Amino acid sequence: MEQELKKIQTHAREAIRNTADIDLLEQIRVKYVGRKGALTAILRRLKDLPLDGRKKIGDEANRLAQEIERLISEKHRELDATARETILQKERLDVTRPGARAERGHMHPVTKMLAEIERIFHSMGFETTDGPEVETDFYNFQALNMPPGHPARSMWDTFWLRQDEKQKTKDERNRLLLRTHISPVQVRYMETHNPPIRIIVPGRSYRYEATDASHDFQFEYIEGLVVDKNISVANFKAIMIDFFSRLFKKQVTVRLRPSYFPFTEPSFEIDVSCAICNGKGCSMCKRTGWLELAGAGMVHPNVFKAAGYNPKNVQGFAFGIGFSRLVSMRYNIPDIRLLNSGDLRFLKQF
Amino acid sequence: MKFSYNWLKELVPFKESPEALAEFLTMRAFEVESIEKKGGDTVLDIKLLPNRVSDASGHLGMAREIAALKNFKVQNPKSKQISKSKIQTKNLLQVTIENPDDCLRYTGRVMTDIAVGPSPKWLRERLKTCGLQSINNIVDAANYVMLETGQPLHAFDLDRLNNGRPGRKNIAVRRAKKGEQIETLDKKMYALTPDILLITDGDTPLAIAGIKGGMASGITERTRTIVLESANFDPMRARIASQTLLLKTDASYRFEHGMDPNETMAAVNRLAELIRQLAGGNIAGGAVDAYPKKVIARKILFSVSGANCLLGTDLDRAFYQKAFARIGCTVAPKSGDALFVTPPIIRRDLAIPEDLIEEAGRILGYENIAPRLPELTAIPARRNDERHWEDRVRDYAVGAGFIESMLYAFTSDRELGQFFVDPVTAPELENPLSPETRYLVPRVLIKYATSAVENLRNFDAVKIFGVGKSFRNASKEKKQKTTGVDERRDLIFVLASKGAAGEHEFYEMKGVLDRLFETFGIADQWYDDALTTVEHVHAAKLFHPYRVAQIKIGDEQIGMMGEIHPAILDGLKSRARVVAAEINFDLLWKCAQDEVEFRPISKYPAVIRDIAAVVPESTKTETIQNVIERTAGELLIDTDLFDYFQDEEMRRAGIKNLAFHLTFQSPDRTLTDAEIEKLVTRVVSALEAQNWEVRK
Repeated sequence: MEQELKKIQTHAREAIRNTADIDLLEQIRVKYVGRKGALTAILRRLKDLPLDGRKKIGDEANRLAQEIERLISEKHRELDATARETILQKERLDVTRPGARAERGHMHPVTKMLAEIERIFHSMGFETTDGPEVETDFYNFQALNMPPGHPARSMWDTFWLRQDEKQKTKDERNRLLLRTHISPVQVRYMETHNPPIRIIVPGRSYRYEATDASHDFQFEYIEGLVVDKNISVANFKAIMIDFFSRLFKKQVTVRLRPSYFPFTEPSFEIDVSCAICNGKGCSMCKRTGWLELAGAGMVHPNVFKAAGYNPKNVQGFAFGIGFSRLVSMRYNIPDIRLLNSGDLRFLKQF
Repeated sequence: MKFSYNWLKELVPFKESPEALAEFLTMRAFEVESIEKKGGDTVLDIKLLPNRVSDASGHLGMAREIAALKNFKVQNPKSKQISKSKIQTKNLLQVTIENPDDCLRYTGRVMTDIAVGPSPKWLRERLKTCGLQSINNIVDAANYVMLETGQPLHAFDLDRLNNGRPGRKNIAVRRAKKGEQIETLDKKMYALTPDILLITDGDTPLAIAGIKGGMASGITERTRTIVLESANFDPMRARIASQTLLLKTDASYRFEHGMDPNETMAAVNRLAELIRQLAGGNIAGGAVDAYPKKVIARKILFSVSGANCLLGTDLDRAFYQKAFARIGCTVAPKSGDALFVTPPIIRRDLAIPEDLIEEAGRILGYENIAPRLPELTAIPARRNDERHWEDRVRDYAVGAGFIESMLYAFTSDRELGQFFVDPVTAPELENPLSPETRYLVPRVLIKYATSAVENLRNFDAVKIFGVGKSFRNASKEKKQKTTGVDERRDLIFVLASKGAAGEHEFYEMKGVLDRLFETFGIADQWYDDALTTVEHVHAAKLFHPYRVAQIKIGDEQIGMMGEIHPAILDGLKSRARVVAAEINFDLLWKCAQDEVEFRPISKYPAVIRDIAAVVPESTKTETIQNVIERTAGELLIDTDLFDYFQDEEMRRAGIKNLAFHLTFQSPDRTLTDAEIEKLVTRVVSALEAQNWEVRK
């Protein structure tokens, strides 16, 4: 019987090793350990053996049965894996084929940049506000210290609205125009709010002028206004340095040059050290090392008066940043008229 | 304005190279726009600030500025003067000014026996450096002294003037008469209007005051006796004349900005002396000088602490005193903190303390003011709700695959016509740049629709959006309150796809809007195809008459959506159907809310049953849905149309098949089959009661 067991072991091992078919494997199982299998037959015959031989043979037969079961299930797993592998192989994909095209939306570059700018100013406590684009002569000029006939009015080429003659001559103050800057909002805001004031006003303004790659008759501007009891030029410099350093993500220098605006005194042009060449001179800054980015100044007492403030009690600064220019710089856009073109070949790039 | 570097250097002893001087001036006074070598000299193109023309538009003035900033003295070429002649100017010339508001001062001198000829080389070169052409020694001398002092000057041929009182020539400053004309020195004819001020000999126009001389009184080779004019004109008058005649000259530029009338005498004396050097002759004694209202100096009360507070500095009183003395002011101390400062009259820009603060700042140098963040009360910025929802709209639209577009605010007769919009509603410009900018756009939707059509030339499908402004002439009642123009922010969505029939796009748009409303916490929106008011009917003209809906939230109409009218699209030669939505953004964001309320998730399973109804073609989905929901009661938590079907045969029969998922769920128990069966049966009966065939 021992020899029989040896034989079964040898044959079973070989049969299991050589099979490549799950159905055959099942037949092998039946053949050796099934109800009518060879091993089962041996176990049945155990009772005919003497007692001492019975235990030894019985143990061996049981061990063998376990081994066969184990080998079969191992082989089974192996065959399963192979079968799956075959299926998987057939499902191979070409990873270099392009992904499915889902149309993605795009934000306008002006919006993207504005969000950045607003985030910086909001963190400094500035609120965003707005005003009308169709303005009156009063808010666009007179309240900003430019009475009718003021020579500085010619600094802003203006689109005027057609109104019936009666209305026009009756009251110069109410003559309608397209705002030439965002500064009218200064007075509108101060009329309805008390200091302290920290606002920024992003918006469109209009100039009656021929267009070229760096000028458009409709353009984006950001106006800022800070008013309190003792806001100074030193404060203004600090805010500008902070703002532009955060915007360009590097420490910049800001310089103030003397300028003239009727609604500020003193008035400045704001130059920022070129963030592209770090002030060494490049094509962006026309080799000067400086970018001319804003006009500004300390609010003129007459503007406070027009807004109903007592200029003795308040002081502050206002600034205007040419925003279309910033956008075209940030994204290297050669012609700012593209911003209003609506051309998807342009807009899809952002 | 062009300045000669050599000339400035003769007047102030600075050491800087042209480049260094340019940099210095740019930082402290005026931007130097270019530096150009010219012969042995260098030309600086200096952009004068408009309020500094009166004092800095001559080389002397610019030298004064440099000297003040560098604390130097100007080497002033003082007139030696002058006349040894027995002839008196007042015996040869008389001056009358019709209106002293038009002409603030008129100073004239006469010279006799001069010899007109070419100018010497040094003079020709200096004029050339400053961009002027040499004419002859008399005209060149006048131009030279203008470049030196800033004061415009002119020379007339005295013999060509009409006589006034016996023996005396006449200069009369008066407004032009209607129909009057003048031929200027450059041989151009100008038709004059009563707005324009003239220098006349009492009869004939001699010159357009402060702008250009006339041909008839000009200097010729034969001229022997001349009148030198050094006058001062009202800035407004000069500006009006210059604009009316479209004529800008070196003189008009200066007078437009306002000059100091006290400067005329020194300038005319300097000119007479220079002409004597260049052309010989005699200077008649004295001058005629009409100066009805003398301009006197202003005294400004200045506070040292106030100045420091505005600049953010801690400068002492002595600094300010010295600074103001350097720019030529008389400074008198008042009490502790205060100074009385009297600026020179030529500095017309210095009128209030802030003007003086600017001077102090420039002399100090703004780079010497240390930046310091303001001590603002730590109130965080309040949220601007409108901006907040605008940002949310953008995020949503971009997420939904739309591209944000910003467009011009202008429109034309042609464009309005293409969209059947009456131009009466559109605010019109008085001075459009072109026919394309004649109006502000009354419905910004037009711009987006046009842009979509244009983009269809490069793309098969277009999905754009934007928040843009629509401008409309205000109705009469409203006009009292506003500027007369209504500005409204519209949220626009446009989508188009080549080859599509538009139906799918319509429902896609509706889906886009529904998801937007959901994002905005709005649940009670609905789409109404009944146009109730004339206004609505009018507004809907842009759309396909059977593919248009009013968008409503509760009872309020907030916008419109639909397919752009095929006739409009044909007119635009559109390559596809275009579907658009136009929503009044102010009404929208006011309905929006951020808060979301959590509802408990039911522990009991939901059961879905499908039901289909064959209905006449004209029956609306909503009608069927209403019947189902009214009948099924509150255990029906959702009705979802999942199939909308019509084959050829059904089309001919005028019917369609609509299939719904009905979802039943209870918050507090598991529903039994029998219970649901009962509800479904009830729904089926209700539908059948409408004469609709029902399939379960």
